[in-house]
Formats: sequence, C-alpha cells, structure tokens
Amino acid sequence: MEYLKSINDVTSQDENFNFIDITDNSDFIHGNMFDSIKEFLNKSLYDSFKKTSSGNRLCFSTSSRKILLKVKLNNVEEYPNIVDWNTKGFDVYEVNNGIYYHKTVFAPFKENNIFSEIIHNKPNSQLCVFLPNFSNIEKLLIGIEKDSELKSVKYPNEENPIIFYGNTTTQGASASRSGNSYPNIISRKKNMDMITFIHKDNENEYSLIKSLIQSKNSNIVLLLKQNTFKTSIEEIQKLKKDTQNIIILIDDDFNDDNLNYDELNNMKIFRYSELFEINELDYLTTDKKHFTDYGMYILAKKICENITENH
Amino acid sequence: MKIELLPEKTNEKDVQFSNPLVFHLKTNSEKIEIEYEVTDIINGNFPHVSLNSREGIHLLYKKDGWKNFDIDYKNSKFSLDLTDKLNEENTCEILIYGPILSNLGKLSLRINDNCYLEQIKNKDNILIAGGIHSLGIGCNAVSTMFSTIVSRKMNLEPHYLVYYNRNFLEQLYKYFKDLSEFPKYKYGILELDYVFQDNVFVDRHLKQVINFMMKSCENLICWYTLPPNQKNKKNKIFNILEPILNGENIILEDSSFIYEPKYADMCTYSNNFINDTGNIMIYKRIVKNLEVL
Repeated sequence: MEYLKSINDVTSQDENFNFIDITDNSDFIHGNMFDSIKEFLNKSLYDSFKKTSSGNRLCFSTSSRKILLKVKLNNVEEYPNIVDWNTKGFDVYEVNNGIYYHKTVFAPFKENNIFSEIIHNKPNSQLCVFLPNFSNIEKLLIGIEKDSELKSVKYPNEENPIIFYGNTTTQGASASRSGNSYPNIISRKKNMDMITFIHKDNENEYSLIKSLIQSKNSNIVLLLKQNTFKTSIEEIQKLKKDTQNIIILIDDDFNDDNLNYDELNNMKIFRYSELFEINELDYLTTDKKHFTDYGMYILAKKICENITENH
Repeated sequence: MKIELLPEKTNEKDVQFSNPLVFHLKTNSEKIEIEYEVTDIINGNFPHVSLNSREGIHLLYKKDGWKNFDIDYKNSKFSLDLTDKLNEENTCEILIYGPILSNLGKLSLRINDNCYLEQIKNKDNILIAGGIHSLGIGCNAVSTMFSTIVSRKMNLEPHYLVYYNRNFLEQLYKYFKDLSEFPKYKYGILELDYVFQDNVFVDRHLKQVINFMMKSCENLICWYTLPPNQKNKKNKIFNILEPILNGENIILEDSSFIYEPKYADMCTYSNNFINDTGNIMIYKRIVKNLEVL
C-alpha cells in the first residue's frame, strides 16, 4: 500500500496504468451511494440514513492483470471493538459463475485516508470489492494496465435489489471483514444486488420504513428494535403489497418475554431470542449486541432461506 | 472501598506469564467503578486486531451464562451498574480481560462501602501456550479468543505463555529450559505450528516443548490449524508426534477444517490469519477433547 497526500499524487506505479474515476459511476458501484436512491425516499428522509459505503460494492471485470486502486476516504476513525479490515476495509472477491472466492482484504493504517493498492487479477475474471462499512468514499479511481479493458458487471435481476434496513449491526458491527456483514453475506450467497439503509437515529425511523415498503422491491429485510416493531407492525401490514416478501428481524435483547403478536401469515418474523442460543451470547457478540461473523452467518442463513428470487 | 487488582511484583524468579491477564471476581456491590492504565503500547499496523483488544480491557458478567458488558471503551475510567445483574444471592461474577498487545499498568476497582469483592480462583487450571493464534490475533475482542472461551465455559483458571512471534516454539523452548520447577496444571493447550514458523524450529524444538508441557500439564491437547497448501507441515507434525500419541492424556487436534471452502469465508481472513469465528470453531473442538481427557 502506498500512502498519498492527495488523490492526484503520482504513485511509483502510475506510469503503467490508465485511470478511470468511478466515484460517481453507478455502473461500477452498486448500493446506496447515489442520487438514484432518492427515488425510494422523499428528500426529507434522505438525510435520515447514514451515508457510509456499508453495503456498497465495486463490481467489474477487466483484462488487466493488475488493478491499481486509488482511494480517498472521508473517515478513518478507529472503533474500539471493530477491526480496521471491517471499518475501512476493502474486501476483494473473485466471482466465477455466481460463486464468490475470497482473494484479499486491505485497509489503510491509522489516520492515512488517501492511498493506493494493487490487486492482482486473473485476466478477464470478475471482481467484487465490498467497500468499508464505517467509512465513506470521497474519491475512487481504478487504474488498469495500458491496452486493457474495464467492464461493468450487472447482477441478475439488478432492477430488483434486496432492501436492507437496520442499525449498526446491519452496517456490519462487529464482523471481521467488511464483506461479512449479514447483508453482504446474503448478496454473495444469492448473487443478488442489494441496497442498505442504516438509520441515523430514532427520528423519522417509522417514515423511513414506510417509504421503503412503498418501493417496488420484492425482498425487504428490516431489523427492528422490539418497540419499533410493536408500534409499526400494523402499518407495515397495511402497506405491504402481495408481491412483496418482507422479512423482519426483531432485536428483543435475546429475551423471549414480553412480546406477543398475532400470527402474521404474510410476513416472516424472526426474533433474536429464537435465532440464537443464549449460552453462546458471550462469543456471538463483542458487546451487548454487535455480532461476530458467527452471528452474522446465522442471521444470513435464516434470511437466505426466506428470500424469494423473483425474476 | 478501592481495590488494586494487579499482583505485586516480586524479586523472585516467578513464572512470568504473558497477556492477556484474566481476573475472575465476585461482588455484592450494585455499582463498581473501574480505572485502568495500559503501558508498553505496541506500535504497528494491526488491521485484524481491534483497538480495545490491543490496548483496552474487556468485561463480562455472569447471569444465565456469560454476557458482554456494553461499556464505553474509549474511557479508562467508568462505572458499571450491576443492579439488574445480581443473581438470587445478590452477587455478581465478573470477568476482566486485559489487553493482548500492551500491558496493564494499573487496574483498580471501587465498590460500595460495606460490600465485598473477591477474586475467584477456580479449582482446576489450564496453561495456554503458543503463538499468533493463541495470542488472539484476528479477534475483535479478547472474549472471542478460543482460549478465553474455553476457560470461561469450563471454569478453568487460565495462564498464558503466548508469543507475538512466528517462531514461537523457540520462545517456548527458551522459557521452559530455564525453569527449575514446573508449575502444575490440570490441562494444557499447545499450539504446534503456524504457517510462517520456520521448519527448522519445529524440527528442533517441537518434541522438547511437548515434553516440557507434559511435565507441567496432567492432560495436554496439541493443536494446529494450517491452510491446505501446508501439507508438509502437517506431515512433519504427525511424524514427530506419532510415537507419543498413544498416551491417554495427550490428544492431537487438527483444526485445519476452518480453511475448507465451507468454513473459510466465515472463519479466516486469509491463509495467514483466523478471525473470531475461527476461534469459536477451535474452542468447540478443544472442549470436546477436554471432555474426553
């Protein structure tokens, strides 16, 4: 990794590469980073969700044997209980016929927020890079070897991505790599596109949920605190379209008391207290409720079993 | 009432254990204040070890099983409300883990007046010896290291001889050969090899280190986890251990399955490092072996 003072700095390798600025290019970056997301939300709600690159992916194929990424991040804070390979990590997978193979992961050191990194590549293979979960991309340049090609990659049924809504758990706390948040795991296992919404605070939460359900997307996965579930479930039921598959995860503090709800035949509801073994809590989480990869994979498995693959 | 938890340094040639330090406590106080300091903070790039694991402390309490506290780890002085965590006897067990890549310079607790705080010493103990994996490199929290899970779940007093050194067998050998008296343990867990450990040290020291561990430990689990491209290392381990594996109190555990395609994405960062889930899988295997011994 080479650390830079400016994104425009010339690295020791630059002369061998042609660079393309893909920062605002939704052909290459999939997720919630673009203005197109506003079609899901009205303007006042747009500010209700966190702007991070969590759940976003850089997907492409190239004939270049080396790829030189130049990145400027706008947040490189260290988090006490989350490793850097998650918070500011670039988690690289090779994709072959819809199967994902982990290649490498990298992240900048300490307060360095501008850097370049080489990724070695089998020519004409497809790569998917899961972007940092607790940072945001200010600038992203892809360098490919001269005389090579760069192509964008589409997901199957890309116009119908899975919608994820939740909190810092949905964002990825505390997986070991950025690619191991449960939405990212599901995206890989199902080879499906997705958009992730992480709410900032409790204000507007209900309006945000309502707006997502009013979208045209087939699969919507909501992670809700118990109280939010109680206050919003009736309205969610009314808004839900017959063609929609809504999966609700309820964070009940791993406590199976105090939550009664009528059988909801048209929705799939899973409580933390049902999904997890209480005697595993000490390693399922790194604090009261942020999951290690172990917990993330349990969540992902349950959701994958209940996702509908509409084409 | 204030209690200092760090043991006094003596001039004797005590057995010097490595990090993490572990404190198992019991109190009837509804509130405790904790203050700590770390020293010898290691410089270096550790994108696979959390800030708190490197230079903080981690706390758990026991109520219907062990659970993590939710605390602000950025502060080195904070209070904990134990009111809803006391059991039927109005006491609470707490575990405090120190950092793995720096040292605890100070650890003091303040409890309510007229209350008590005592250290619990478990009846049986365990010695964890090894290198990078045994040290917890790759974990988001000290509580997810396989060794802390094992000792917590099985009520064992843990001591560590673990080295941030790829050639940890040589470090272990040097440590043991100078011991005049071997402390006694009910169990031992010895990491045998690491992907970047030089084979010359495995040839030179593995058998001797195992013999040293057998002098200390009533029962020994020798384990490794190696990626698929390290078949020669696995063969070497087996050849060295095969003559001594007939004993009833020594088990060889190969946890390399975590590198198989079914598990690797969940358990590893790469062929060089394992994560929290890799540790959890190793814990589950080790506990099964401990139950056999």
